[in-house]
Amino acid sequence: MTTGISVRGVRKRYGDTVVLDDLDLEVGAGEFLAVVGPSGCGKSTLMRIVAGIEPLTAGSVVIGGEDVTYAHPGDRGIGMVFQDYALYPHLNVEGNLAFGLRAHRVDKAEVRRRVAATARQIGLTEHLAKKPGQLSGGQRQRVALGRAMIREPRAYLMDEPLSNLDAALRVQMRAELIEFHQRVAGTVLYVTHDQVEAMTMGDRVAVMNGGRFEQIADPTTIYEQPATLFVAGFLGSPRMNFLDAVTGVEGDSVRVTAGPLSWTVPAGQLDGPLPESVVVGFRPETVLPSGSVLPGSAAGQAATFAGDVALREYLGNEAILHLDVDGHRIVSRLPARVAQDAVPFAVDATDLHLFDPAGPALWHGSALRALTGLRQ
Amino acid sequence: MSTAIRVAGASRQRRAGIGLATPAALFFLIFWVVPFGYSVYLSFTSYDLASAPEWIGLDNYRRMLEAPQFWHSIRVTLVYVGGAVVPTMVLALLLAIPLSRPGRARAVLRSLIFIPAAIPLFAASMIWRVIYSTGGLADRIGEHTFGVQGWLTDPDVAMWSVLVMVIWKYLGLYVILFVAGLQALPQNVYEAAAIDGSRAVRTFFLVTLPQLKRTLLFVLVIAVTGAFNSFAPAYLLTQGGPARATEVFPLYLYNNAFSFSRMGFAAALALLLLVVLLALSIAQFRLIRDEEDR
Amino acid sequence: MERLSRRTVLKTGLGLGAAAGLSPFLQGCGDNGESGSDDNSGTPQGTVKVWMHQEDLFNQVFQSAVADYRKQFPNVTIEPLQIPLPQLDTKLQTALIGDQAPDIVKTGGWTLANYIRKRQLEPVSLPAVGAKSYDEFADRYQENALSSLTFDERVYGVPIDFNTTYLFYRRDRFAQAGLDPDKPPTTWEQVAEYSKKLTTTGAGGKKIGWQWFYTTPIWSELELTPLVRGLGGRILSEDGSSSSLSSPEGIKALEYVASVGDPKLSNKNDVYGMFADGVAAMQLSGVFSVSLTHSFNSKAVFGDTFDCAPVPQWASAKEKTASGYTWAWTVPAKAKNKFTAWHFINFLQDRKVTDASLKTAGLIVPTKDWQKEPVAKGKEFQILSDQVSYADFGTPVPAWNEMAQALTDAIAAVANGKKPADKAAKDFDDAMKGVLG
Ligand SMILES: Nc1ncnc2c1ncn2[C@@H]1O[C@H](COP(=O)(O)OP(=O)(O)OP(=O)(O)O)[C@@H](O)[C@H]1O
Ligand SMILES: [Mg+2]
Repeated sequence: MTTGISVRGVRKRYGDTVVLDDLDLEVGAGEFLAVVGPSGCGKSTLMRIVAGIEPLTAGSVVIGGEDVTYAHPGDRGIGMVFQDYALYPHLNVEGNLAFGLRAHRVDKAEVRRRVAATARQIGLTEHLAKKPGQLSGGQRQRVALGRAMIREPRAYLMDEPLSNLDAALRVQMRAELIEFHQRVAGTVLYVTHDQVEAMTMGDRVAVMNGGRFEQIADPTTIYEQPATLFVAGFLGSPRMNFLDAVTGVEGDSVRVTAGPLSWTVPAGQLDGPLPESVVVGFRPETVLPSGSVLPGSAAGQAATFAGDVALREYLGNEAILHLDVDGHRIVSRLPARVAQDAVPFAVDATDLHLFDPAGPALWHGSALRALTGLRQ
Repeated sequence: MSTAIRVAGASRQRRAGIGLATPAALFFLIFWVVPFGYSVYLSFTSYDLASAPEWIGLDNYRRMLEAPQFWHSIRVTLVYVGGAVVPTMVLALLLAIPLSRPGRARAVLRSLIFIPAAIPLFAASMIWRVIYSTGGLADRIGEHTFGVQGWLTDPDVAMWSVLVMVIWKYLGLYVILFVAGLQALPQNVYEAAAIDGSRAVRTFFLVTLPQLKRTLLFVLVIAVTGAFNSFAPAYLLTQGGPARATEVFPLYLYNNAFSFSRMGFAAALALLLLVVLLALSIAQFRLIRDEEDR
Repeated sequence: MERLSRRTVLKTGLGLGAAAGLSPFLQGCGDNGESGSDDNSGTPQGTVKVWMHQEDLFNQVFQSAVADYRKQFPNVTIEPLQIPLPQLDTKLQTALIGDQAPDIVKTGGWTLANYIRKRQLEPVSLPAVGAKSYDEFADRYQENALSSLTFDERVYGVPIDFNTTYLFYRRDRFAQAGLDPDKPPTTWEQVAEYSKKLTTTGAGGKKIGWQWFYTTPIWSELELTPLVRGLGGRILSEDGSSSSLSSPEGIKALEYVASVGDPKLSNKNDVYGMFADGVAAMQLSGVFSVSLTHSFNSKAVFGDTFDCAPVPQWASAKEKTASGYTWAWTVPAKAKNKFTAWHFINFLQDRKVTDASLKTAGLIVPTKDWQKEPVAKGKEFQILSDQVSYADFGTPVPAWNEMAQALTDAIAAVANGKKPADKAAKDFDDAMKGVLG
């Protein structure tokens, strides 16, 4: 029933400022694609261009195989959920739901039937006569969703629909949205700046920065094989550790040295020669006490180092250790029971990510894992 | 001890309360109750400003209902109110919609359209008398188009000429009020409406107008009470003529009071006007309140 | 409402006079005389506040008269206050109730009845003007000149700016239309005939023969009066207690008004302006039009471009008739310095002052034989002097404003084709029933 969205070569300028720079994006039919990125990167602009409420400077938008670049927003077959809901304040829930149907001259009996059905789905049958001002935040959110659903659109556009809710409600609504997506199998283009939302909800995640996509991939790939320094740093909490490193060829291997930390990688496992200076990255949860480095990991492929705990954040189930290692700050995340003071730590080469200082990823340590078959 | 202090405190507070309320109460008494009571009294008398008012009971009211001129002025007033309020509000709204969008040119236009509202009515009516005089601008523009001659001197036309000036004079004020109202409306609701497939006209009637209801009612209250009270435009342009074609109710009242020295009769007229305006205001504010309750 | 008698009283003598003497109206006058803080000692002194409407030319005459008076009576201070004409009546009404009344007011003769009914004006102080009786005082003026200022045998004002109406006509327009500029119409029938010939619609816009005032109450009375009286009818009964416009004469007069003139024309200076511009070739107006016309259009010169003639008569008329009005110096009943006020007014009747009024401002003070003075040689003054004896100076009614407004309504309704003349006349009479009686 729902169809895909294609964004092709879309560019948007405000005066001299380029907000979107030659974007391409394919959202498959029934896919939930989450666009994530820092504030001001152009997420809303992209969404508004797809919706047709913002004109574009160049490029085209195709929905369901139909070029809708210059079509009226109402003729694109989309339903949109706004960050602040944008409900009609003067109409009650029933009026809000029915507005679009009436604008499309759907006959009265059908309107009544669909309003009733939608109200049931969003659980607001009791509240049809209320105006938005008399509803709770979650209820408003559901009305906004219902309004998007009721016309059975070809695709849904949602711009940070949960960001105005408190934490508990957000978790609940997130689950409801996932459930909704599965039920209607609808195409969803979902914008958020919350990485948890993006990772948990998206079939794929598009990471956006400065008006461009850094990487579009499924959540695992995004997390395990970030395409750029930005993606690596943006997703994951606490943030990935980054250290400046130098490389040197030692026989069949390449040695990567970042201060007191050093790894060797078989040259054959690399995609090509490495530049002399790189950025090495590894996630906090891969900084483990040296004794607990997973068995089977090839000796010499883990860097072992001693560090002083400068700061210890205790979170109950886990602890975040901020280690001072010869003047380098390294963050470790450990189960609370494992966390101890001043033990030697180790980072396995399979958990490494090497980046060109300019941004692009050069190599992911997970390649070794595939080779040794140590992890699934 | 603590109760004693509390009691003393309460009575001191009460005294302070009375002290603070006294000026307002005095003001209300002196400037409202006394003149109002005196008007009510006068309306039951025959009073020519010279000899003492003479009690005549309901005679003024009876005469009022019997006077053809009274009914005539009511008809004239209704035409005036309708003719001033409806076109001014419609025009002001139509102008306010494009003018409420941001932009420097629009800001300039907004101040230009406000100029007539800033011109003193007396000066404005002088300008319009020249425009309407024989061979004046109105003749040159309108004589052939409308086949009209004697803009202020033809009893069938004079009222419309007065209304044109009144609309011209107050349009800017209403435009400003509507622009403020429109600019306060949430923008993304319009985007939602567009996505729902609603085009400009439908959006205007189903989204803009209902949301503007409070502004509309507010402007309507000002406009209607203003028009009912308005005496100056007709007085300055036509003195109520020709053949009393523009003798609005307040002008009829004024003539009775000051030209004909029939103060008692005028007081009765004034009370009637007051009652009508009060009823209108109450009705209009009840509408607003109902709107809020819903 | 008490009825006022003027000529009635003079004519019927004692009977009515005695009745009037018992009326509260006259008792009121007595009260006011006693309650004044004024002394009748016969020495002019103190401050005299004078209200009059703005009139620049007359103001010059007035100022020099004040200077002369102060030379003779240095104890007196005259304080003149000029008030715009449209505000004078309202301001005076308010002042006469409170304690702010001036000592002298220049008042329109037609408003006098209203003030006198309210006992707000003081009759002429005979000691102050050095007269033994009102009759003796009236003898100082041209016959009929005080008629509109006399109520119940007392004189309440002294005329200034005394006027009869005239026919004013444009010699240039007459010549253009092939009419003899030296033979202005003498009958209303001729006026109608000439008016047709003088009506043209050319490049310069519409030009018409005759034009009435359609919106000015005083002119409604001045214009309609000679038409109705010339036919032998009356607008108001002689004692002002009833109206009879709905008579064959009244209806015919209204129909005549509708048959000439164009109510749709307008000019910022009303009919005076249309006449000055030559848009209207004829109008009824007062002697002031001689200078006023010229002041609106410097190319219009009296005797050359335009001229004046006696008020036209109906061809069938047995007696001549005209209309007239006067302004008057009056003294409010609440004035603080009444004796000196009348004393100063009397001084203004001095030949030297009246000659200057006529010469400088064109305002007539109709003292006896005024028309024989060298300054009154002009044709306009001679015509006026002739017309005084037969002119109707209006029937005094306290509700003059309402009456004249209703008359204006009747004229406007008929002229604009809103009502037939008989209906308008009847409506006028009906309205007057509640106002005059
Ligand atoms: N009308 C405009 N004129 C000029 N610049 C604009 C306009 N609208 C948006 N921008 C700019 O375009 C950029 C992208 O804005 P956009 O709203 O798409 O960001 P976003 O990614 O949705 O951010 P957020 O997460 O804060 O909502 C921002 O830098 C913003 O300042
Ligand atoms: Mg945004």
